[in-house]
Amino acid sequence: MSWQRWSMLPVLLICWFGAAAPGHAKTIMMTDEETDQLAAIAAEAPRLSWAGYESAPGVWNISLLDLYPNRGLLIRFPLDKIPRRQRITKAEFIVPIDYVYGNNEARLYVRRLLAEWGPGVCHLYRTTLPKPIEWKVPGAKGSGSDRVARGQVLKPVAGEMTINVTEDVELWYSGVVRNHGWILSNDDAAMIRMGPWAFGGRGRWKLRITYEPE
Amino acid sequence: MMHSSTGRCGLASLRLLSFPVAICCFAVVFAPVADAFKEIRIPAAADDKLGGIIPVVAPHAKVMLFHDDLGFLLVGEREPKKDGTLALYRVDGRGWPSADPVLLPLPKPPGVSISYAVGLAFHPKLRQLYVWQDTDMVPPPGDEALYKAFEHLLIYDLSKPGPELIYRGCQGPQYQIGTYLAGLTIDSKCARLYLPNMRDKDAAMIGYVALDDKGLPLPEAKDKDKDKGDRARVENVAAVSGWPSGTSFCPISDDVVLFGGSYGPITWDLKDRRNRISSFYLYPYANYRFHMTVHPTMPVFFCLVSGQQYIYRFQHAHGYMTLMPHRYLIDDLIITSQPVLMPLQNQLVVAGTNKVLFLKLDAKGNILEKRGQSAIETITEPPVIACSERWNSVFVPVPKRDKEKK
Repeated sequence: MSWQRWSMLPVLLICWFGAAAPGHAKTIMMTDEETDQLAAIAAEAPRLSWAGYESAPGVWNISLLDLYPNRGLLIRFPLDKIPRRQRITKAEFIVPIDYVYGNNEARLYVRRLLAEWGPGVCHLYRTTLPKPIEWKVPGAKGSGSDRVARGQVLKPVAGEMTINVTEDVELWYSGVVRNHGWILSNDDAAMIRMGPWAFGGRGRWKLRITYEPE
Repeated sequence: MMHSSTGRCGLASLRLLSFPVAICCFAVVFAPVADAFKEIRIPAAADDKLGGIIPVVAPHAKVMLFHDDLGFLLVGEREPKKDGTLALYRVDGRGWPSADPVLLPLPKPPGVSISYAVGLAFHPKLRQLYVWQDTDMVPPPGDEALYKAFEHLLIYDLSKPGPELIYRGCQGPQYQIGTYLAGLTIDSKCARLYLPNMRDKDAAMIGYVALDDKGLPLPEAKDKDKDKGDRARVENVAAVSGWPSGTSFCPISDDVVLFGGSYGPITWDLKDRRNRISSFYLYPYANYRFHMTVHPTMPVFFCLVSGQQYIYRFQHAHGYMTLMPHRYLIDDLIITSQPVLMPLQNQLVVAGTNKVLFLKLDAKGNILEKRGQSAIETITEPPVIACSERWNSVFVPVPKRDKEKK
């Protein structure tokens, strides 16, 4: 085999030993394509997992993700890419916001979910398979049961919004609480149009995590 | 290509270490990323020369359907600018179609020279065949007379030696003319015939006609006397986005139906007006290209866009699509057929040009990586296929008879 094939070996070795060196921080980036659970729920369509955009009364699609009051976007990133015995030093959740309609009082709420959810998740149920299990309060609004009582309250601005979620990711990674992801909601009289997860819009939601060996 | 001599000399002392270390680096860097991908690749495989592929000479096949219990194979052909044909083959004891099919009539109104089948369905209990036929569009104002006179729905009685046309109807401006495919389906209770390709002014619609116990459409009440009961009463019509279309109607329950729309799979809830139509958009959006099949025992369905290498596996909860679908990338095959599930074999069958793929499923309805395939010279048109669970075979339209089988 020709030596030319191995001309990049020193670089690889540096990466290899450098990454394993004590105290060396590493950053990984995941996108919504690597999430294992996504859903868009709405009180207006209480049985839908994909209530992203209502184009006409009762007609829904996922070309857009419009966050009105009484709607929620649920997203969970698996954390199994992070090796064991690491310390999370920084985690940033990057969410795309296409438009913000309404007054200046619009707020984006990001809360850690406490209840497990899965197939059939919708406004009424956190799962419907194999049997329906209701949220404590429809829309995952049960404070302290469906979701944490206090989350982050942010002023949404069109563009990429970076949210510090280090505490949440550390809690999940350390196993103190189970990772059920976040719910993003808008509790005020406004509309926040988030970047869609499908139809050409995938990959814009990101979770960037920096960690280092303990 | 030039390489520095110093680099080559510098590596010489690491010769023994280089390969295993490189392998380790590669594994560490790439393995976790590969695990997280939503897209699952089904790699190319050698031709297995699997049995059970039955060629059917049909150079312009557009629709195919097989009935396992009756042993009837239907093949609808359409050549551009020519009148279409609908052939009924009976299969022999080995499951091979006869050489002398019966041609079913495709009636058309005076002045119309072309009609062709775009959708086929068997009645689940009666020996009846339902055909949705269409004709080429004509520009206004001539289209008005065509809309008024052209009958889209034909029902044939297959219980006698010679098939008999026992119903013709579904004419009028609410049925789009000039369509390509139609996902005609009867529900398991035999009470509804789901209809595609409907319209209301500028809106694309879908709906159903109620069937009586003889499998015939109930007449429209207000015109019952005037029309002598030949106008089907259309019920529960819903508007959908895009061009009038509708493929692969899959009733999940009495109230919820899945089907392929212009932008992707659609859930139609017939009763709940709050979530009446729910679409999952997929790229590229195209009419008549989204083909689906629902697993009979697992809450999953498969959807593909004809002309792509992808198969999507969706989960559904009582018909409502849920969570993000898995996307399977099929190496070295542009899929052009509809997907056909063979539950007894627990496999999904698809076809493209000159190839039929057999994709095994696991207990959760995931497509397994190892695939089976058979090479066969298919027609150049996007081939359709039909499957038989009884004979574990796949009917594939071919351009000409295989010399060996003559």
